[in-house]
Amino acid sequence: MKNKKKRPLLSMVLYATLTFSLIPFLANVAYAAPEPYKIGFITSITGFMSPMGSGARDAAKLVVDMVNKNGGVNGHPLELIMYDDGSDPSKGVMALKKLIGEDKVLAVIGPLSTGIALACAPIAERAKVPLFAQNSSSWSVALKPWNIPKPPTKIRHWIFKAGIDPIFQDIAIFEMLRQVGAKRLAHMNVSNAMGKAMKASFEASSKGAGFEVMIWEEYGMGDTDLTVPLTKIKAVGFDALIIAGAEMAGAIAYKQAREMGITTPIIGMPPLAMDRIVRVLGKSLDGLLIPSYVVDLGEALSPEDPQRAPVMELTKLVVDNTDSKRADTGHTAGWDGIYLSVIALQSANPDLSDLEKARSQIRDAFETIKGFVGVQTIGDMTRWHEIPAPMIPCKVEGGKLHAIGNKITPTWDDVR
Amino acid sequence: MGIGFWELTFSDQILQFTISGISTGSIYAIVGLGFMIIYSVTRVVNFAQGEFVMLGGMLSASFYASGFSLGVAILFAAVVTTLIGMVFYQTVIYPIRRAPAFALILVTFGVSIIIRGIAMLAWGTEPTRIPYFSRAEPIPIAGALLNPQSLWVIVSTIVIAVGLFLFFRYTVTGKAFMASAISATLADLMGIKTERMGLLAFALSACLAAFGGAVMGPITYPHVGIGLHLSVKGFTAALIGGLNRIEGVMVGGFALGVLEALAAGLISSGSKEAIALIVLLGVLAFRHQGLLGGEEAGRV
Repeated sequence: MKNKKKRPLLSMVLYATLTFSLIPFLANVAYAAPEPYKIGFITSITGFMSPMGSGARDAAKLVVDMVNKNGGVNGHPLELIMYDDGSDPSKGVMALKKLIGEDKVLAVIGPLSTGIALACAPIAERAKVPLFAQNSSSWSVALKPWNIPKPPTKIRHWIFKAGIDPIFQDIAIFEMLRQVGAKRLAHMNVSNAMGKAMKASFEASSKGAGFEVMIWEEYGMGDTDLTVPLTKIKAVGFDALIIAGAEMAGAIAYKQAREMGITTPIIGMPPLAMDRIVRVLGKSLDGLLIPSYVVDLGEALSPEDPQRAPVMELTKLVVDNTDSKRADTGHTAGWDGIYLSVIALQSANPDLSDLEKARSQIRDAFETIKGFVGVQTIGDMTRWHEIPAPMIPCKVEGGKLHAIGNKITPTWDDVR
Repeated sequence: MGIGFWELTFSDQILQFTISGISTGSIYAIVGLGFMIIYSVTRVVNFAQGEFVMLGGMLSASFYASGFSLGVAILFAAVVTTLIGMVFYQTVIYPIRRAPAFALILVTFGVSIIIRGIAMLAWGTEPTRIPYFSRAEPIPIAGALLNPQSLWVIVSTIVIAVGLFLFFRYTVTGKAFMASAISATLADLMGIKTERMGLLAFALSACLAAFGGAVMGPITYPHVGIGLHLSVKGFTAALIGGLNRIEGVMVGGFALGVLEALAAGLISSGSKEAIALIVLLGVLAFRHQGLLGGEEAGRV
């Protein structure tokens, strides 16, 4: 009796196993289509990084669709497996482990932010999976000991990223300060992790570059009355003010500084030129100097600029297919991440029967990328595993960015 | 290129901190007055108070953006927010008015989350703009500067406080309101409909909050997330000054604003939140009814 009852269950399991194991084989026989190249994508669709993360998601999906419509890569369709990290490092790590272990992707793009990238980088390194950590700071490729602001000496083998770091931003700021002839500076930063990182970097790099910071001030992310730190700043002598913050409060600080009669040049950070801020503050931002990324200029880019064409293409793609009115830094991270992977896949032509070997081929291809023209990054992969991301000195006039200087493309070679 | 070198003496700096503190403090005071009005009659600490301020700011900005003149936009915003306040009382607070105080507080927290959620669906998280009410050039006061819009905020707060005082003192409805605040049971016996007074309290405090949100809007660029912060600050101000007196709430608001500004200016900007809490704890330890709060339970 007992045996009889067990038998149907046993045979069901057997049948199921047999059927499932046949599916891939049958599928191959039936379609004989090339196996897709599986690429993992981690971004912040929810949480505080979502304004940027959703842009990265949209652009990545649109680019993958475009690549597949044009026949894929080496005849293989591209399969994008995307996970949301919720702007949270632990969720980012979980997503990465899933991509590596379960989805068995060839390479991973993301995460977008430094905090999450720092948690993910050692894991990708140990698992020997190429990771393009987008806009995270140089800490995601550098290994300790690293004597900031000197270039990092030891670099992670499997990690690559865009050449974005507070230090590179500082190089652009120094250039702009020299343009206006400022030497003595006032610096105010927002009191979150990003603001503190910008302050630390500026503290480390400004002295060597020949600048003296007369006063360091801090303000809260949600502050709407900045007159207190501005009063303290106003009480010391300085030639230019630097506002290191990406939020609305930074823009309000600029406006109130002008209202309080501070007439020196004031330099703000690229996100202050974002649509949502400019739309609200309008002409109040006029006169603000910003080291901007290429995409922020959009149509205002010079026609000779090689990045103008891809930027306009991205803008059209984004405007036609999503409800964004223009392309921003979030979109550029998605676009460049996918295209760099496509180039790496193309030249590696990986052997898909051996996953470990394929991943290592793609890593080597990443390392030797040359002459890339993206919407954020341009040029050759440096020996620090970064594709340089140029900045353009800009001024806000009539609520719009205008270039006031030549493109600066900082790498660690410029940091001495 | 200008060279930024000013002769800003230490006393000028202190003056500037104080002026900044008073303008921030009057925002806290407006929110605090809303807490006081509702608490005095219904014994509810309404943590949705900050959301009323947010609604006032966001609605004013939206009406203004859709083409109404600034005055009309603010009026509409105040009317809509007042209606929301009344619906809130009638549908949520009134049915459970005899529930324990902590339950009522939790309910107002819940409502604040709901209001914020709906607002986020309607407006998104982007900041909005309300134009300055008058000119933009700051007014010099000795060595310091005062933003004209801050003057609007300060004067409005004082006008509202005086108006409330006169209303409670010299009108029949105001007196009935005060009677309900002192003793609901006795007021009931005297023929005052205390439940009506609850509705009036919510209407009045929503209206005040909406107006406050509109007046501070040109400085703060309202967005849907400002409510909770304002609730906490307004409540702290009301506790410091005394939750049952107009003068108390005013003093509490100004004191909190000025202390924060001085702390940020003289110690560090990170210290201001801590200073506010320490002052609150200090006041509560020595005068649990607040600086000016009366011993009697419900005076307005």
